[in-house]
Amino acid sequence: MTAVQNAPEVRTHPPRPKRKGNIGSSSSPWLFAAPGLLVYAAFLVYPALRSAWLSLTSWDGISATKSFVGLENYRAMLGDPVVHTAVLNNLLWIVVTIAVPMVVGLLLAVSLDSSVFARPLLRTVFYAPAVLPLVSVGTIWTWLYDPTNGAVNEALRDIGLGAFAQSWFGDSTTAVWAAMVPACWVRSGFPLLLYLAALQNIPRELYESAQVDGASAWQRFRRITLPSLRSTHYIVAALSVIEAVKVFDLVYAMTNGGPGNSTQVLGTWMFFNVFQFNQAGYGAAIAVLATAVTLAIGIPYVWKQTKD
Amino acid sequence: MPHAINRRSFLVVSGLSLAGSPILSACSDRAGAAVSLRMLTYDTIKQAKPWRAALAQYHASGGTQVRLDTLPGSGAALFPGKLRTEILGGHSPDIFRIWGGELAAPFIRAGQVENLDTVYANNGWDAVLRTRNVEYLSHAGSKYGVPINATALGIWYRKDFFARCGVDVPRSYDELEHVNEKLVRGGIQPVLGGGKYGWDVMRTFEYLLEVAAGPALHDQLLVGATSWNRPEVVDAFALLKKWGDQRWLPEGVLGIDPTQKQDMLLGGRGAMIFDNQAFEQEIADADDPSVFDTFIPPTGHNPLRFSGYTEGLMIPRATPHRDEAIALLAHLVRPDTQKELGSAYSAVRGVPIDTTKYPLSARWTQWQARHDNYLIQDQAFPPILANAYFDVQSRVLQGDQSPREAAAAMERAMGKWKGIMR
Repeated sequence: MTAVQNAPEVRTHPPRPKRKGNIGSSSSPWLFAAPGLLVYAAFLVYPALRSAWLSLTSWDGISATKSFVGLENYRAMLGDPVVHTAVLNNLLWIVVTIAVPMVVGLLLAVSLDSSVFARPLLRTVFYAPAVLPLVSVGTIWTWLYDPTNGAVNEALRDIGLGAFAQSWFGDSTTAVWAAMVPACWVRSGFPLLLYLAALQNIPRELYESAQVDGASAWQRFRRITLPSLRSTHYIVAALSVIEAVKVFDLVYAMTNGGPGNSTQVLGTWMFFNVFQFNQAGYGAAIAVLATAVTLAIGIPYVWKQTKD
Repeated sequence: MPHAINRRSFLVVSGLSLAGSPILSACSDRAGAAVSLRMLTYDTIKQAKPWRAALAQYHASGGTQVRLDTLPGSGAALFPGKLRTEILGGHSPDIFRIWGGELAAPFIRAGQVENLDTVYANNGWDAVLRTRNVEYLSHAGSKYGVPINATALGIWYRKDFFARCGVDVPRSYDELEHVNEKLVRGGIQPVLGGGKYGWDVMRTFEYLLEVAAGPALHDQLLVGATSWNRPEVVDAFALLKKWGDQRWLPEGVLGIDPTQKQDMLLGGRGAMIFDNQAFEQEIADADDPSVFDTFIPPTGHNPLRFSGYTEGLMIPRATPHRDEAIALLAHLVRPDTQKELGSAYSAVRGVPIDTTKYPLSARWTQWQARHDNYLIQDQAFPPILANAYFDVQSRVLQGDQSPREAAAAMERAMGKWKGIMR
């Protein structure tokens, strides 16, 4: 037994009595979080609740009065063919703008991971579209797709595929697909960065020992790389789904929802109803639907992130 | 020895100042602080220049000071939203500019603008302003706005292309079709336009509907007084399909931005556009302005009509300066003020046009005096119905919907709108 262990406990000061009304340790984290929570409540929670309330009213967005209609706006959504088109387009948007950027981002990341020489330059080049404002991206691609002067049709003609040159945004069958190309172009940079960071955390020894065991490049990718990136896949997919449900800027700038309403998504149809058609209550119901879908995907993601 | 201010006295002085400032502010307001008006518009910087000069002149001659706030390029799709936000957000302008018909109607129906019936009667404005344009800013028999511009839509064309193909200005609809055919054969795009946003295709279709339905039926259709599911409407959609199929409208028209059409006509990419008098200002900058001319699209009906719209000024009920705003309106509708503004299509009767500067617009002023017009369809219809209308038109042009189905679809859309209004 050491002297330290035997030493009597020495208390130089008596314990400070708790003051009445003192801010205890249990509430102090809330105090620190209060400014942020206040801003969050004022600019996010309150508007969201207010929108939910508006979705239960019939309001033109201008009058001083609103009439309560219960779930009538939600019932009307069921019979609105444009909402059906918008939901389908959103689903299509989710599938394509997740799958393509994830695959492209992963392939680019794997390529850049092995090529140390040009990595910083290429990483910047491939990520650059992601920092452009989406309205600018939409405008740029509108010009590229222009049926008479656009570079896309010119390029097709130059390589002997002039038969495919067409009015990309002027035909309902091609417009939504054409609008998704810039979305994939913009969004490939984000998974690239995440995958690149994750790849650099995979121990090199795993690859070396697999190589010694005679594993081919494809086997190393399938057995080591892909499983090691599981959590990154999840992050990329969850954030991409949220982005895809929220899509507005690109569609608004490139097609304005047309031709007709063939490229409407929930975001644009909500905007048109609230700000152009003077149906703020109905538009709010569409917004609530889009938010509910986003939350259904977002909450498991946040929960998993917190758990990890 | 300097007097030291301790913490307590500082707090007392600050508190008293804070509490007293509204009282002082109110006193100074009552003491006669000059009233200043704010006018909200959507002019481009170039268009706003003569307005700012005229408003400065108004202030210099003893009128109220007016600040002009503009939202250039916002257009009918965005400006009403901005205006609504300002009014509901407690930052209402004292006077604002707006298009007529169903773009102004929501503000009137919501009780957000002043009824000007008495003001019209007191100032004798009915004799000064063009009746049709006053109607476009009226609702349920009452007047809510003062029209400033009386815009007419017609065909603006290149004389050199017509001469090259050996065609003259058409005097009937059949002759216009013949012109289109000859231009196509000559390798020239007959009509330029763009279907993005919808409104430009409507310009063509509203003309075709006037041709197929005639003035009386057309007017009934616009207000939903008769069914759209009828042979005349089917014929109008069939004509639209023909214009698309024959390439009288550009290939892939639905994907083209309509703002390109003026530049394309100026650049010789086609022979004609449907446009208004403002286009003459663009012609002035062309290499050879003399090759451009304009005509009324022939309908084969008597009376001969063309489409048109108005832009006017309204006073929001939220303004605390109603009287000053009315005084400003009275100043603005004076012919000499209109002349100062240099408008080529004033809604005020008897405003002389600079015929050297705007010879073609001057001709339109004469035509407007002789012929009536009907409201353009994206202002005749509320935006949600106009959206459905454009959806139908784009389906017809793409061949997804037959003219018969289109007529039935329009009737359903009209019925749905009536249901909403009920």
